[in-house]
Amino acid sequence: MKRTFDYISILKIATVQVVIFFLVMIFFNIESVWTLIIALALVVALVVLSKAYGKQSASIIEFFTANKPTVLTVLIVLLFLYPLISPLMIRQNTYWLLVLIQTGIYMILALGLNIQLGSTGVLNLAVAAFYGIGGYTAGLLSLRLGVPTIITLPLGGIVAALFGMLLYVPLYKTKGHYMALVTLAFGIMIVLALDNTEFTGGPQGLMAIPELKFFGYSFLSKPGGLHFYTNYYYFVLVLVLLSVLVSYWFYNSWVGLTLSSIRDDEIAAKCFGVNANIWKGIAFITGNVMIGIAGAVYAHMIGFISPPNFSLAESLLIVAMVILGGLDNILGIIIGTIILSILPEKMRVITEYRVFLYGILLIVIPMFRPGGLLPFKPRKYHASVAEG
Amino acid sequence: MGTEAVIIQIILNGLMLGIQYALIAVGFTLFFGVLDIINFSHGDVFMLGAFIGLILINIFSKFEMMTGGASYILVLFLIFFLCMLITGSIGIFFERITVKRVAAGPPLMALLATLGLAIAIREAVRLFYPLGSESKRFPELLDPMFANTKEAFEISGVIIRYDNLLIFGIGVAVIIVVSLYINKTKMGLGIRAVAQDSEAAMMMGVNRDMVVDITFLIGSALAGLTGILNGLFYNSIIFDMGAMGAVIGFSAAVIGGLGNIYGAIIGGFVFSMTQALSAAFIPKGSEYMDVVAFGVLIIFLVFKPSGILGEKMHERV
Repeated sequence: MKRTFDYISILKIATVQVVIFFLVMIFFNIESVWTLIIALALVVALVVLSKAYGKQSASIIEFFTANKPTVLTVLIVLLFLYPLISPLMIRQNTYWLLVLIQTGIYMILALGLNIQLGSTGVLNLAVAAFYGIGGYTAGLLSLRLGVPTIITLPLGGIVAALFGMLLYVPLYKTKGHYMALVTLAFGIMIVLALDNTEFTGGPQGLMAIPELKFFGYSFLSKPGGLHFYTNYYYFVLVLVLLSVLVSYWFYNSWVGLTLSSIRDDEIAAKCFGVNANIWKGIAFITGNVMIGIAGAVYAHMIGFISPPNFSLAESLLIVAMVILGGLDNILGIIIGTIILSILPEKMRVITEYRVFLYGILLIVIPMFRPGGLLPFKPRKYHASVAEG
Repeated sequence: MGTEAVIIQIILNGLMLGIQYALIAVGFTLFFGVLDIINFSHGDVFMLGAFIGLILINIFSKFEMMTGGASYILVLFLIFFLCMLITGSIGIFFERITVKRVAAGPPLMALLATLGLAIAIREAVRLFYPLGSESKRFPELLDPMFANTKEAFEISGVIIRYDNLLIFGIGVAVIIVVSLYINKTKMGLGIRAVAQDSEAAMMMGVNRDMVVDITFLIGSALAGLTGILNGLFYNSIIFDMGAMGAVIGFSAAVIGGLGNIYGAIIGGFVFSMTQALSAAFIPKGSEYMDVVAFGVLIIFLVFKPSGILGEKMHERV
């Protein structure tokens, strides 16, 4: 089938997305709990309407999925335009820029965890520990030895992977709840060790970590008078796009299929000649590389890290993002991350009750949607075969 | 004070903690037996026990019943009993509203839901208990009996507080009673039957819902009691003590082998002794004792992946 360039549908899609884009900006801009309530009401209304007008909504969804490349292109263009447009519209622009960067870092963490937990079924309750290992590696190297950041970033990932390899020895020996305990204990151990060691700054952590600097371009400089967070925004955006690409590549290739066969039935996978231990290890370490790099970026951006940043609560937040969004569903995980990292920012007015409500959310969603918000669908290979 | 005395002191403290870890771990292992679930909110039931104990003590001292005298022992037992009753009922309540429901679903979701429950309980105490985010002083209980003259005695350099005797005595007594209950009574037989195979047990006429309720009553009551004991041991309680309680209790249950009560008890002492010995013999050990204990736990699981008394896992296709 030859693809013709259909200007009208491109225009339609772009209009819809631009409208949503500005709605999101307005959502950011108004400092009131009511925006949150109105936004939630809008989402509920949309869900109800799509249920009521099943045929029309199905055709709309079909229209969008048929034009996936256009949708993605427009989305990416809009994301790249955001820091240029937002200062004109949003009063607390730098704050929301920082929130978006943090959301991006969480996305990398969640996608990394998804390769371990979603695709392969290796529960990692020490995500924040690996995140911290990446951050502390980058921080220590650049603070104490003055290593350039172009080297500290990958090293953050590599050191996290090395620790992952070390932990993998007990991991592949154990199963189920015992496996969960190994990662849980490791996470707590790392935080306690960081807390008590002089070399890593103890409970005060590392301060004044240098900013990112590539080929003489410091990330503290202000491109065209914009805030310096803009640099980090673009950098993290590129990293997120890369992680999404890697995740899709994993998911769509035979590698992802192998990993999922281990997750669904390890014995059956072994019977078909899959070396489960090696593949579980590969998935665990790949995820840790992504998590470690995210930690290094965070350390350089914030410039100050301390053990509480990497506690068990942080791990649970990331695990919750993956499970709520839907295991092994990349779009679902992105949505889950956005919900769990942007909603709390809007709930600042009710700061006191935030964590409490978060706990309630964690109870309610597993009870009523045990598969997550967007449960994964089994891969369909025959569809593409029939088409081609 | 000689170094031997210091080491004996550390080991004695380890024994006190071991009793507490064992009591929490018994709950974890019981719940795992009947529902195949790791109930992370158990640690926060333990925290609730400490706060309920404190409230009860405050109420009783308002009526001037905490002043010592002949009936004082009775008052103490009343406090322990009421605290266990209340936390036990709370345990059943949590089991009915969430734990049992999510236990039927995917295990990951069950884990997440109990973690959410733990967070909700913890935050509720922080928000709704007066000045909940600060640590609270927990009074000594055996002091009034000795008219506040002394709170400890000394044997060749080793200081033993009277409250510690109370902790150890009550802990050991309760563990014996529970293991007798589970091994000798009909309901205990039901618990063991459900743990082994819940469907077969139901076919034999065991009322599974009833067994689950009783299990949560026992487990949560033990956690509540441990809360008071822990308050007596450290003389202070705080709203987030449940997190570490849950992790250590779970670790102890795993060391012993999930599903085995004696395993949980052994596991509790193994964990506390690892902590105590690393504090005693490793330089700067007291700072790193938890790091060492968790490290030993991970290495231990390499060699014994299903705990000391755990059943060997056989996989069937």
